[in-house]
Order: sequence, then C-alpha cells, then structure tokens
Amino acid sequence: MDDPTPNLGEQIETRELAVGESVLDLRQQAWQRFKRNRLAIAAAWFLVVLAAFVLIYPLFSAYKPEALSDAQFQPPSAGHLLGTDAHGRDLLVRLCYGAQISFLVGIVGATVSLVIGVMWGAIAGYAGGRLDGAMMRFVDVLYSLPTIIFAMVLMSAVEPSLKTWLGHLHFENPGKFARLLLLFVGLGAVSWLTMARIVRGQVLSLRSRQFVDASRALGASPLRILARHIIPNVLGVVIVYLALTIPAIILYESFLSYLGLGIQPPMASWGSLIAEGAGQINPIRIYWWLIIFPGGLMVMTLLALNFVGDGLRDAWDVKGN
Amino acid sequence: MYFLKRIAFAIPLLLAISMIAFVLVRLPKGGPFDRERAPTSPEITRNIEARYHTDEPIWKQYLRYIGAWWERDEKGQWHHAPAGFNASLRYRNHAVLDVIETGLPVSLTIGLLAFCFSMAIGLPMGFIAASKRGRWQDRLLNLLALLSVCVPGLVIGPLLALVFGIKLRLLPVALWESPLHAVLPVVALGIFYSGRVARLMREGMLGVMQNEFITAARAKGLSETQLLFRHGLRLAILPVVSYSGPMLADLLTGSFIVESVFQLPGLGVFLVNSLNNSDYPMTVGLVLLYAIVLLGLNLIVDFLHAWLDPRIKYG
Repeated sequence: MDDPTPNLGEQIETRELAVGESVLDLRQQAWQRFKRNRLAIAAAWFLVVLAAFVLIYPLFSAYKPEALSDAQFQPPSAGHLLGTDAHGRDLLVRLCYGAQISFLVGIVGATVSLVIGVMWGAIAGYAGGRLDGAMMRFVDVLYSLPTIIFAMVLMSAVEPSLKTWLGHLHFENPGKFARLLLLFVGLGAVSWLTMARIVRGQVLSLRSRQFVDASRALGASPLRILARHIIPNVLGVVIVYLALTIPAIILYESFLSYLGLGIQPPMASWGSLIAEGAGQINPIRIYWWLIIFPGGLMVMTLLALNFVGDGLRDAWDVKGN
Repeated sequence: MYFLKRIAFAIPLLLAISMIAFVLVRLPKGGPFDRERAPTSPEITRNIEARYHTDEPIWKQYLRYIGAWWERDEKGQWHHAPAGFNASLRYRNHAVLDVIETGLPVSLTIGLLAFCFSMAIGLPMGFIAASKRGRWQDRLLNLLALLSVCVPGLVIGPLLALVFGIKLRLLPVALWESPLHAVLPVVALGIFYSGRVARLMREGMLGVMQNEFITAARAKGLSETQLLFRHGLRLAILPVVSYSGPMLADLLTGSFIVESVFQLPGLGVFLVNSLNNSDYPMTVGLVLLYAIVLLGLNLIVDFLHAWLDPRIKYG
C-alpha cells in the first residue's frame, strides 16, 4: 500500500510523544467502529459459541471420536444426532474433534505466516533500495508459482526424519505430532506473501516519519527502531490480515487432508471428514449426512471468519494490496 | 524487450526450482524400493542402487537427472549419460512424459474452463453491483460473492455430484468422456473464484468511477451506460487481470480436488501418488511442469495488463 489512509497517518504523527496512548486511542476508535458492524459482531459470537461447543461437547458425549461400533451408516436420530459414519462412529463427536484440529491448524499456521510475513515485509520496507527490490521480486515470483505443491513436497520430504527425531525425544505419538507440526509450518510457509506486501507498504510510509527520524538522530539502531517504533505501529494492520489468513489456512488444510496428505486417520479434520463422506457416494444408497454436515459447518465457519475479518478491515480502514 | 528479459529470467528460475525440488525429494533416507519385498539381499540392493544410481552423491544425481553428466567407460571413452527426467521409478511402463501427455490436457482443460466460468459469472456480478451501488441489488450480489468465496470445491463438488449426478441423474458424476462430463467439475472448481472476481471487479469499478476523467466525460453529456462501458470498464478490470495470475495457480492445483471427486484422469493423482511413493523423477517432473505452465500463463497475463493499461511502461 503506497498511500496509507491519511486518518491513520495523522494520528501517528501528531501524537508522537505519547506512543502508548496514541496506539490505545487508535485501537479504541477501531473497536468502536467494529462494534457498530452488527454482522461482524454476530459472526464473532457465532465463532465463540462454536469454539466452546466443539471443546466441551466431546467431554460429555457418550461416544468417543475414535471408538468403532456396529451401528454403521445410521441416519441422524435421537441416539446419534448427526448419524454415524462407515465405521459406526458418531458424526457429531467426530465433527467436534475435526473442528478442534482445523481451528488449531488455522490459528497456529496463521501465526507462523504472520511471523514470516512481518519480518520479511519489515526488513524489506525498512532496508529499501536493492534489498527491498530483491525481496519483493522474490515474493512476486512465489505469487505466481503453485506454492502449495512445494508445501506438499516439503512435508513429505521432511516427515520421516522429523518422525524419528521426535521419537528420540520420547514423544508419545511421534507420527501424529510430526504431521501436525508439518502442517503448521508448511501452511504458514505458503501463506505469508500478502502479509509481507502489506507490512512492507506500511513500513515504507512509516519510516520517513518524524518520530523515526528523531529516534535515528538519537542514535537508535535499525533493530531498535523496527522493534520499538515500526512494528507496534503496523500491529493493527497485521491483526486484520491475521484474521483473513485463518480461513485461507483452514482451506489449505482441508485441501491437503482431502487428498490424504494432511491429517491422517483415525484423526479427523473437516477436509478428511468430507473426503470420507465423498468416498461413500454411490448410486445405490445416499449417505447425505456425511457430506452435508461437515461441509455445512465448514462453510458457516469460513463465512463467519470472513465477516469478522472484513469487519476488522473496515474498522481499521486498510485496503488490500 | 521487457518480455524477452522475462523469458530469459524464467530459465535460471526453472533450473533453481528443479534443483530445490530434486534435493527436497531426495532428502529423506530410503528410496522408492524400500517397501518391495524387504528385506532384500545386499547384492540385490546394491544392484538396484547401481541401476538407478541412488548410491551416488546428490549433486551427481541431479546433473544426471537434467542430462548434464558425462561418464567414462572401461575403455576411457567419454559418454553422455542419458537424462533421467523421463523415467518413472514406480510405473515401469509409463515414462513421465507419457503421464504428462495423457494427464495435462485434462487438468489444463478443467483449469481453463473453470477460469472462463468464474470470469463469466464474476465480471457481470461485480459490474452490476458497482453500477447499482448501495441498492438492494448491490447488497444481494455482495452477499452472494462472499458466500461463494466460502464454498470450496471440496464441499460443493460432492454436493453437486450427489444432487445432479445421483439424485436427479442429469449429469455424469465421473470419468472424462464427453463435454457433459466437464460440467460438474468446472462448476465445482470455478464457483469459488467467481466470488473473488466479482468483489475485485466491484472495487475496481468504484475506484475508477471517482476519477476526474469520468467526471469530465459525464460533463460532456455521455450517458451513464456509455460511461461505464467505454471509459470505466477497461481500467476497472485491471485488478481482476492482475489477480488472474495467482488465480490460475490456485485453479491448477485446486483441480486436484475435483479430479479426485469426479475420478478424472488428470495429473493430480499422479503427483499425490508420486509423493507417497517417493517416485522422485515423477514428482520433480510434475512440479517443473506446473512451474512452466504457470510462468507462461503469467507472462500472458502481464502482456494483457500492459495492453489494457497504456499508463504502464515496462522497461
């Protein structure tokens, strides 16, 4: 972003002495704007309730997510609210279980992408010149390549050695843990590009401001300027893009799990649950609940996440790209 | 000139990609033959390693792979070692190029058709929304666009197969035989991106209509329709054009899902299998293929961008 909204810039510049206060002020303003957006608030509540339900329900349910039974392909009933799958497992419990994994991967993966993107963008924007040009050219090249394929290759390449390494550290279930770790890193590593571009644009406009000049004149090192002045000021924008990255990572995760490269059975995520449902499509009997419920929950969650993300973006008044 | 430079830049880029992919795939210990009748006798293992050169250092293997390796035979003669990029290790009767030859047309057709589909839906949606800004049509279309961005192919694909294929028996649900077989996969893949195109189009349109030359044209007495079509459209479409590069990348990889849902003989299955089998010539070959296709498509996109927007000068 080459020209920041004048509103944001003015605020930062006129209150340069009271850094803590000015940031708080900005946040409060944004929060006020966000609260006026009823759709975003409703979506946020939906997410909170969903997260609570997904965490609590499996604790009180009579069924275990990985317990097999003879009650295969039961349609929804009072006993199994959402029916059972091909192995007689209760679908509602498995959905909760899968949602935990999908949320976990989404949040941690987005955090990984945030760390990479902020560092990349901040360094490029602050250094400027040749280094900036080279770093941004790299981002451009990656943009046009199928980076998810690289994540797939990377994950399958590193997994065996990671598994043995984790085994040496006496983890209980190295295979399961290795897969999750790879998903976090792999998906974070392909989703940081937009973040880097946005942060660079912000940093580029921030670094020529007076309070940064003053700090430099006082002898602060570039690292200190980045950590004390630049990064705190781009935090708002970063949070907005964090919120928009989570649904993207959840989508990637479901993509990989659907292809059998992500979460491995008997664990579940939304992608693998939908894949299990899609595998049962046949012309003789229709097990609609195996597709409708996981798919519907996923669409609703993505919608809510997007409403919240868009609401935050409007509240902070930032524009993409 | 600029485009010549771009093409020249693509060659080292492709070499770098092939090298990274090759090293990554060969990184883990163990080869593609580990699961076959293990434990084998040491002689057999040694034979296999010598046959496929898996015992050599990795840089030597890479040079051999791209066909830049010469070796000496017993008589001291130099021979060019045949390039290894074509020999799949798992499918004995299928060379990598054969797989590409059968799979690429399918994947590319689905991807490009889905691209056309999402443009055909998304562009008019964004255009209408922008021209009815703030009215109920705008809100409705916005909601639809947002909804479609949240419906990935792996959700809508099985649903479409269930409803149109199995329940209503209108369209075939699997295989790749007639044009009718392409309908469900293309819709399943394209609908997700139509929403994004619509949003970009709407934003681009609103941005352009604030320009001064639009006000000037309006003052000259042009009607609103003429304004939108003759002056607005050409510039408003630019964000969509620049998004179409990354979108093509997503479409080509996204087609893995619909290929798997609808059992199409595309490339996705081969890539996934080669990853699971550590069949490295296949993996690296397919990764390279995707890179080449996308770099080419991106070049076309940039060309289009320069043609549409006379303000852009590449140099």
